[in-house]
Amino acid sequence: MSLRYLSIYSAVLGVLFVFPLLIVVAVSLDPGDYIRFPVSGYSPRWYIEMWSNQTIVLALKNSLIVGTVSSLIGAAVAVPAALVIARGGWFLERVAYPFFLSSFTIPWLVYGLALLFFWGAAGFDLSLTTLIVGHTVIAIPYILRVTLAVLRGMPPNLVRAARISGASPWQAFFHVTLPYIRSGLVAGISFAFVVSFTNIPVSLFITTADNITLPVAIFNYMVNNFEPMVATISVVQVVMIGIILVTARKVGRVERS
Amino acid sequence: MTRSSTDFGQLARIVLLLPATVIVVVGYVLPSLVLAAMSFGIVPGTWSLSEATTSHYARLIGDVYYLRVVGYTLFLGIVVSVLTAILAFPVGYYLARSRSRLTSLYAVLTFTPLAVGMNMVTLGWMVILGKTGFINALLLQTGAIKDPLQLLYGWGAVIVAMVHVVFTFMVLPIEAVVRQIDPSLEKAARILGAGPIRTFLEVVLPLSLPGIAAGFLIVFLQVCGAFVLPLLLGGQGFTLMPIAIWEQITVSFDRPFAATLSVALILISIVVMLVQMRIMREKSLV
Repeated sequence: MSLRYLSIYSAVLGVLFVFPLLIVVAVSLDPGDYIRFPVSGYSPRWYIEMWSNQTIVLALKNSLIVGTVSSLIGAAVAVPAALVIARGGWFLERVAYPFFLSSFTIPWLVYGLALLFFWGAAGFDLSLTTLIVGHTVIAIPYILRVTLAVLRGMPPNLVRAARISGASPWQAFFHVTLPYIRSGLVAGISFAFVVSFTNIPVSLFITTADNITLPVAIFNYMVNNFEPMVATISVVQVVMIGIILVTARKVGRVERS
Repeated sequence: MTRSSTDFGQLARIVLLLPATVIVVVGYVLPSLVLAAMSFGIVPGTWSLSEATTSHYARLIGDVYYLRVVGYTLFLGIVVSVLTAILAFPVGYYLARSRSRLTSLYAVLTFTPLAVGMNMVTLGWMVILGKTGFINALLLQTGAIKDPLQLLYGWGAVIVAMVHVVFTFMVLPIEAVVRQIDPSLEKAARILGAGPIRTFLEVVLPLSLPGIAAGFLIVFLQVCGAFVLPLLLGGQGFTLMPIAIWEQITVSFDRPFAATLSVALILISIVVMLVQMRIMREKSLV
């Protein structure tokens, strides 16, 4: 196969892939009251008005809290588990590891429904905390997989050398293992954050007026009133994701050098 | 077996695994059990086993409407998987074989729909396909059509946008599998007189099947669970399993039946996974 044609094909597809996103950016600058193309003009109107929308500001704050807390808790519980699973063994490989990844296999909307029933049955009011639990469960597989992949490539002699030199298990973890897995871990955490920050199906049934998340708020707008502000909020959301991914890359890199 | 200083004792293992186990049990296993109980009509509060009934399942199997919904969901899964495999194979092959620096850019581009969120992608396609959207504006301005076309809502819109979203799930396994195919095999086939098409059909394609099968499985499961995109791009009357579940909650307020549909969707996913694994195992035996 000629790679030249394949590269042209891939480039054309690549452009088509970002085209819908560029269209949304154009619409987000439309000062009109409904979405149309070509846009009626360009103005920052909705970028200014969105901040006076109480629901949007609250949803954005909630989403930042839920995304940050759930991905950090996910890391705090997934990393210790990964340390054990990396040692291998039938039970850990065949039972424990698939068990931690099992939430991968259930459709997100179904999981959200299960959470709605569960919190109702358990007598808990829906809150940011209940939302965080659900998002932590879906964060664990992403962080666990990345961390485990890095740990499996880590020479066991590194930790052994630290221990022989007199380091306690804690010191060995913080001074040897953690720096080694850091870039992978940061990638896993940032990916889990993005999954939480963009997730609609898991959150949909378990959000109320108080703990509503940004993507759910956008979803409600898309179902009910189709105005350019929907595009504006989506663009702001993507910009935030971009900032977080770029920052995470930097944080992950510094430690490596 | 000698225990080195880096091994964990039994107690340490339990302590390290405990936090994740607690979260997965409380946050996932118990909710799934409640969902399963609800699907049999066992409602929270009384938890009475004597109220257990299979009537919700009987309703699902006996109602042509819901059987059709199941059929639509499977059909969309197959169509999107096949289309994505055909469109993604050249890209995966290119990413695996090219040494160009652009490959990492393409890899990032195919990943964008996942990173920006479903609302962004769905909105983009709504604006492209809508009556006052991009394609209609283009066609009206060039005079190709007089009245705007109805492109949005229905199978076409959902399939196109779905392929866009799941593309990266197909590209990645294909790229991984092509990387493992020795390029000299293709050269050998060509030297022995096979044309490019025959080389592809008899050398590259059979060796890539495990990657395509892996991609097929992920894409199929993603399509079966897709909700936001088909709901907004499919329009009124376009019902897939997840949309039917959502309607039971928000329109019909029938929680047990929503649970039944959910369990059915999980069962479908499991069956698809098992069939896939079976086929893959048989293939490797040949």
